[in-house]
Amino acid sequence: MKYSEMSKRQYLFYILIHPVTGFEEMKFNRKGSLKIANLLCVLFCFAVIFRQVLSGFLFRAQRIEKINVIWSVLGCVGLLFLFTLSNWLFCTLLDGKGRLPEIWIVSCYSMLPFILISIPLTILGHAFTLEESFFYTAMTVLLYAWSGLLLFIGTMSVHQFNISKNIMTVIFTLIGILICLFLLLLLFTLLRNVYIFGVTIYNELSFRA
Amino acid sequence: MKRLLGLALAAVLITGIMPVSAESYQSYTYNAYDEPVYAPDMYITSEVYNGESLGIGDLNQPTDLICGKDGFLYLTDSKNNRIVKISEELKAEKVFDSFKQGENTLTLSSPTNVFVTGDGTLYISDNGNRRVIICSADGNVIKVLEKPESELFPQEKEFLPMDLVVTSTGVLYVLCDGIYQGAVVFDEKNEFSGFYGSNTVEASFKVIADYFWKKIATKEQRSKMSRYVPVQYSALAIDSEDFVYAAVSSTDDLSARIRKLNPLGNNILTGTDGRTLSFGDSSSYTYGGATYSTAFESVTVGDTMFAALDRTDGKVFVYSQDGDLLSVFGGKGNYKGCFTDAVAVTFLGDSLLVLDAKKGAITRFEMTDYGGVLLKALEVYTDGRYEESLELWQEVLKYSSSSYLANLGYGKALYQIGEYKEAMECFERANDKQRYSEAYKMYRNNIIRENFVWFAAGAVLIIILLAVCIKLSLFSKAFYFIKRKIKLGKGRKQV
Repeated sequence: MKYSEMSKRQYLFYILIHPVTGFEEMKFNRKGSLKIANLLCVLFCFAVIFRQVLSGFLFRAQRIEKINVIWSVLGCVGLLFLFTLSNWLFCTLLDGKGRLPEIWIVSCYSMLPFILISIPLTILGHAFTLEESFFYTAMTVLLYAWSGLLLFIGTMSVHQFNISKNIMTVIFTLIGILICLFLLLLLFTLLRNVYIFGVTIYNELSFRA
Repeated sequence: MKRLLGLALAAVLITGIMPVSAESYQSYTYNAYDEPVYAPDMYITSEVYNGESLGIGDLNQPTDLICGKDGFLYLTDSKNNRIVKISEELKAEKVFDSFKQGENTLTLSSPTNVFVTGDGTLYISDNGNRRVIICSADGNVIKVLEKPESELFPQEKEFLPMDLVVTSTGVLYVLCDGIYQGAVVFDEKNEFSGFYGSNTVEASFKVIADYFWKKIATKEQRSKMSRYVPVQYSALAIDSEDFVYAAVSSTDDLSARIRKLNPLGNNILTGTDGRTLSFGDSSSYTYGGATYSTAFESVTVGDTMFAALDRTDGKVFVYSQDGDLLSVFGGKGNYKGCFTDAVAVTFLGDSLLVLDAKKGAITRFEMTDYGGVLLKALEVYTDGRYEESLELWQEVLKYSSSSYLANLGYGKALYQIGEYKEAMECFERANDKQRYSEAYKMYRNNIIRENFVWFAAGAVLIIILLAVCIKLSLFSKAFYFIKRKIKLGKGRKQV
């Protein structure tokens, strides 16, 4: 079967092993699908929560009582979205060819290795003791490395950058995410102050009226 | 009927959630994650005694209360310049305020502390007169120790004895105000022989930063800057094996607030299995611009545990021999069981006494059933009688299911008798990953051993399946992959 004959669903798994050609073709032959990307985003959230909640005691990063599912979802979706946004903002300035939906698709598609490995790995983690934790750690590293690599190659293809320029934009993107978070924090703090100011004025007026 | 059942259930739930305590304080302890959690009372208040009920008139700023090695209590009534010997029933037996030395009579001036050996010999730190008086039980002076005339002792400083302890061989350790080299040591013949268990300057960020500034500052500037000296001990206590417990009132290092010093002066209370101990409350709080944190003012040693008194909040911290926290109770206030200015704590048999300087009163706390079971469990477990300790730990867990110590102890005991599955659960509650892993390893081995046939059969089956799969499909698949690769390459070239 030629890649041009593959359905969008089959294409997803083709990218997993052939990211360079895969993302190139996706860029030019419109093989990416927003629907699949959104589904992957949901699955990504699910995988992260699955990992947080159902990891064995030995490999649990966080106490179950301390897990807040809402924050986990916000963290996953928010981070993907912030990455997309920040990447788009910077790359548009630096002559990137990627459009916003394309970057979103690439970001979500890159999470596929995470989804595919992390769930079985979480279950497998119950069988390991601390002495065998090396395998678990190695698999975890592989998990992040694979997804990260896909993301890197994906953004490179989508903007038609060379490697050195892409490294630069990725760094810029990460800085951009931090700036976004800072602005959000500032916005919420200011809004809160404005709100308190309004409430105080209302209270004072209501006592004097 | 249903409604009744619901009501009963609600009642159980509510009383189960709300910690029931008749005390004016709420006992707590730290859980496996270093968070303070409510715990059953280990001690409850039984009675409050003041000078009147002791039969010696009002106390005036008492500073110390100890249980002497001879079994009597000794109270240092500082501003009344006297030492009071008190019986177990808390009645005054004898008042020491003047001592015969040949034809002279010595009196006290603001004594701070006292230590009494097994034969009733008193060692009194007569702070106002800058001396230590050693006298027999009937009030005859044996010896008076004054500032040592030795080059080792900083002669520009005054001899201000505070707390003191005596070893079973008669070596005297005296904490002196303003002496940072450690406790002053007087040997068996009461001759000055050096210092003991010196503390070190804590390397905090401010110390390092100031060190840098001092390097570049002028002499005048330097003289204005604060000097850094080793943290001073605030109290001493000694156990039956001559290990000295030293408390520190101001330090940021949680593990150094209480030390157990061996005869060489080294701290041996450092925690087992790589776990670091911490003493006192782990967090400080800020109120009205001042920061408050635990300041241990007094320490006392029992047979299987030791206790320290936090002057800041008037709380008593009870620890096991190994430094594990058992219970925290008491607090600031005017209620019975709370203190306005707690200065001394001591064990008296099963009960515990706390001296309040401002109220001039002694509060007696009695151990509860829970405390008794907890101590018994610890004792039995430390002896290595694991099977015996099982039931006791279970009893403790009934009182306090989330107790770190009980879960750990119960888990260890279960591990020893081979109940690995239950041990794992206990270690999980105690958040001990290393032990959990060990228990799990044994558990897994057992499962594999018991079901070896199935595992072997499964493995063989998988191998056969794999072989069949490979035989059937690998060659054709590989062929297909190669073909596709070639086509793909060609396709790219054409574009």
